Amino acid sequence: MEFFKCTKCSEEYVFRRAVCHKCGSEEFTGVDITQGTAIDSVHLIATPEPMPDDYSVVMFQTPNGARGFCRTVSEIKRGDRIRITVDEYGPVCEPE
Amino acid sequence: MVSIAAANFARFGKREEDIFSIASESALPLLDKFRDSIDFVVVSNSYSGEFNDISGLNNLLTTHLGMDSVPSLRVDNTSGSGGSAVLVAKSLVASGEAQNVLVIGAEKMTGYPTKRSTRIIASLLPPEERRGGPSLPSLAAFMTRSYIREFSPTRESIARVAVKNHHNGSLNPYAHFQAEVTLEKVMTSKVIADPLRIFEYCPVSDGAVSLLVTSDDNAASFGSKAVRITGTGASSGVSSITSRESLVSIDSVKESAVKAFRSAGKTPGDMDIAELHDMASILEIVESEDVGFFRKGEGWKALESGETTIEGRLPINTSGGLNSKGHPIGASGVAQSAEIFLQLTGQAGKRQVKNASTGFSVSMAGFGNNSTSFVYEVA
Repeated sequence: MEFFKCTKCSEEYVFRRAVCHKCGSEEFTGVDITQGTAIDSVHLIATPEPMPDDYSVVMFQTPNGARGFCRTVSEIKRGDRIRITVDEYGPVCEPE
Repeated sequence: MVSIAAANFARFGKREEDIFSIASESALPLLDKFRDSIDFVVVSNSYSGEFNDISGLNNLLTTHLGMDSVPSLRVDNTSGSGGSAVLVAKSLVASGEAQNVLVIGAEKMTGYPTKRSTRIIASLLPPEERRGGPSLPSLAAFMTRSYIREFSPTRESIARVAVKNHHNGSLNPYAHFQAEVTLEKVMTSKVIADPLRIFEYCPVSDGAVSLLVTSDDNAASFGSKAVRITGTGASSGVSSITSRESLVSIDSVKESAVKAFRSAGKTPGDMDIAELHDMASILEIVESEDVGFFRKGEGWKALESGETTIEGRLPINTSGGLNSKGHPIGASGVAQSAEIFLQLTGQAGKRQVKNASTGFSVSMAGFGNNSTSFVYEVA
């Protein structure tokens, strides 16, 4: 999963930005995120197109403090370490 | 000073008619009285492209209403469109650009599978976050879980928002849901995004509402009971939910309320009634704290003690709120202003609050991506 890292101050974002909100730099580089820690997980019944019908959304934090969402069909609890990959819909995670 | 001089609803719910018919149902009674005086039309609508295959709704609608020569514009600010539209109308009158503005909030959303509607509404999230699978309901679930961890309400105390608002909706002939629900029914209903259940979310609705926004002087000449808009506040927050510092507070709601109260020279304690953006049960509680009605973490206690019922110290969402009145997205913020107008002019029927002379509303876009707050006073 790709995050965006400010080349000047190293702030990381899941949301691509034109300007770093921390230092004002306009230069970013892609960072491959493969691990994180679950902040929380929500089991979602009514899912949006084109996603599968039944999954949990995990809000996670990277080792550098940036946060993002990924899907899972596993049981993941707050504080669990997760491993992140990408499938046809987007980022998915499993317990590490 | 700018006032609201008239308001009219087309019932919210699942409607068979198209968006033009629904919008006209709300606007024609006002046009019957004020047609020759209206010199601007502001249409609040967010998803006519996605749900109805219509763009340029404002011009199509003015033609439909026989108002081809009246200038118009469409305001799209997702769930906050209505509040933004009222703010635009107020600004048009205050600046002298227009004298009498017809605001029409309208949306036609039903008829699609839930999965499609969920996708359309989730399109306001940053694309990178959407790929991770969240929906708007799931964000409310994250908020609920964080709120429970931080402030220890019982799960039932949050669900009571739905019980209160369905009761209020049962007294509102324009509401989508016309029946009360018990706490047990809410707590055993289908889970949508754990832990929130279906009765705790607003339905997908069709509906429309129209307002006449004008100057105090014009309102007096119309012979109408009027409600002054004495305070306004618009504020934006970060669109990326995962970039926010707190999951139990919404910065744009807080800041817009501070601005509105400051510009009105009032405090939250001066308010007699309020309409909050309860897309999910937890949002009414969080917003009631963020706008300053209750201390952080204590909104649920006020709800449990009955302070926010129609008979309570500060009735919240007497209309039934988005939760029961429904949430035709472009209409919702306009409907909040209309409900305050009806309450403060003594026209709210079975849900009338006694002796109310001041009111507050907050119209929220997305999941707090931006907000517009208003303070109202009897003219």
